[in-house]
Amino acid sequence: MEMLKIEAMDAGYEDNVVVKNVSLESDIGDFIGVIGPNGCGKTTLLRAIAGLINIFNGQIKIRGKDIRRINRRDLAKRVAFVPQLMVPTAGFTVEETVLLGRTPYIGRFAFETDRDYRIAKKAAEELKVEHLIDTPVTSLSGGEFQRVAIARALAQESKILLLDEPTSHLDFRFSIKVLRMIRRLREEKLIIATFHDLNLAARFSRKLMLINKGEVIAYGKPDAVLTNENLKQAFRMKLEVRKNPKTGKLRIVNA
Amino acid sequence: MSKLKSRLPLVVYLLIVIIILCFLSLLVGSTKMSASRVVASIFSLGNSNSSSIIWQIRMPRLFLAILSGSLIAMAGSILLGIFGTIIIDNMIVKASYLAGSIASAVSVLLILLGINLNKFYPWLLGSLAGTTWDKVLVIALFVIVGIVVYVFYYKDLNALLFGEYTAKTLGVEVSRIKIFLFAIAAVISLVAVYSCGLLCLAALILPYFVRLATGVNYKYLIPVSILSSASLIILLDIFSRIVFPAELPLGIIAVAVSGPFYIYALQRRRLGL
Repeated sequence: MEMLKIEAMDAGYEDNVVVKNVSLESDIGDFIGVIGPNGCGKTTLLRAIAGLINIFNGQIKIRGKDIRRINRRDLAKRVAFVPQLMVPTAGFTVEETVLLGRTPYIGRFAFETDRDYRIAKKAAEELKVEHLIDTPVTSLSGGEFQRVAIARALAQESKILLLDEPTSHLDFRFSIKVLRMIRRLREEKLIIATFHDLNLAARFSRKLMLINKGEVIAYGKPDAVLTNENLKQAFRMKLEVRKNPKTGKLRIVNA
Repeated sequence: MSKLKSRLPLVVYLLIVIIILCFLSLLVGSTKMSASRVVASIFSLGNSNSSSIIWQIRMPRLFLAILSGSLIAMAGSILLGIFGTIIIDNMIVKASYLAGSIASAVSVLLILLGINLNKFYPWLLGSLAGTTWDKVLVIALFVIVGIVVYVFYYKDLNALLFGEYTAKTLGVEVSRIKIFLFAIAAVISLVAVYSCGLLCLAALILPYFVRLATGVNYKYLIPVSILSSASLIILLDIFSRIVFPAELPLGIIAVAVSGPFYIYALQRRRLGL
């Protein structure tokens, strides 16, 4: 049974439908980049998958089970979410922040076990922040903290990892670094990330989903989605997709 | 302060402060006693008269100060967590609204029961004079409830710091937890108001300032708030006994002392800090 199946879903806030008629089937090993203009519903789509907002029509199934039938704690073991703007909180070390990801595994009347600490440490190692483990998060750089935020989600040991603009406030070098780390996680997870930067999205995603005004206008391999026509329709400006003949990499430029 | 290992010294420092204050609190009172006599009386080695002053008058009073401080620290910290870390004005408004409604409800009830309100003025103003062990025991029960809630719910309060969405994606049933914790905070502040009247006002704001010093991690915020609130209330109690031999009601001191801090906190909020 597929890891994630979205069937003709409408989702949004209160009475307000933001994303319409979204369907998707995906499995472990995938890295889906969600792109589209500001306000098109990228973040809303991620929130719907995380069970944070109303689903009006259709459904989202994880391994065949409707997410509305899964309780919060169990859902947290299946889906982890890295929000766009996670603010470093004073009073927390890197280790304590990463350990937050173990919350769904710790019983009401129990405390963190050695196993939780081990998993948190492994997550920190994966994102190369283990040397900062005792550092207060408030003294980290933006790039370091973003990796801590991802490590926290990793400690949830979920099969689905959602990232909202994982590189939006990172410089170019850190963006590439962080995305390489995320890409490595793909082997055992299904990753869905939203992107502002079309070039980064094209370079790191296995598939792209282009959304405009809450509707999916293209979904598939990057070179199939990133066409001049699709981009024009979504961004209402002339963008040109160029393919590097040697490397096969796509590059989007303002024509 | 690069490593947070600096937290431990803070707790040790506060413990030393509170031990000194406890001793001072036993030392000060209308009957003059030397330090050595106080120590002897604590271990019931002195004459029976000074022993009974220590054990029947000053000790219960000291315990009540510590316990009330703990209650109000826990209520303040929890309210801070539920209403958001930066919405301090909201918290104050709701907390005083809560305390106010409780106070008026109690007053109405007392009038209906035909009880002379004059008896309750000391309570209304806040004074620890005339505390009995019975009262201390009752308050202690609620302190234990508060501590149990803290031990098992600080993780949820921590998750809430990162916003409702993130708390939910960590598996926290946000609305249920918030209602539960609000109920606990309400009961705890009610008991605190019962035990020391308006005095609570001075300590309710403390977690806010403790947070500026230690950060918001609830694992540390609540214990440090408890120690500092207890110290503050012992200190105010000592102060009221030394400076005003007639025992000026603590509530008045509390309001005078805490007022500027509330204004400061509100100002910071207005500046978006």
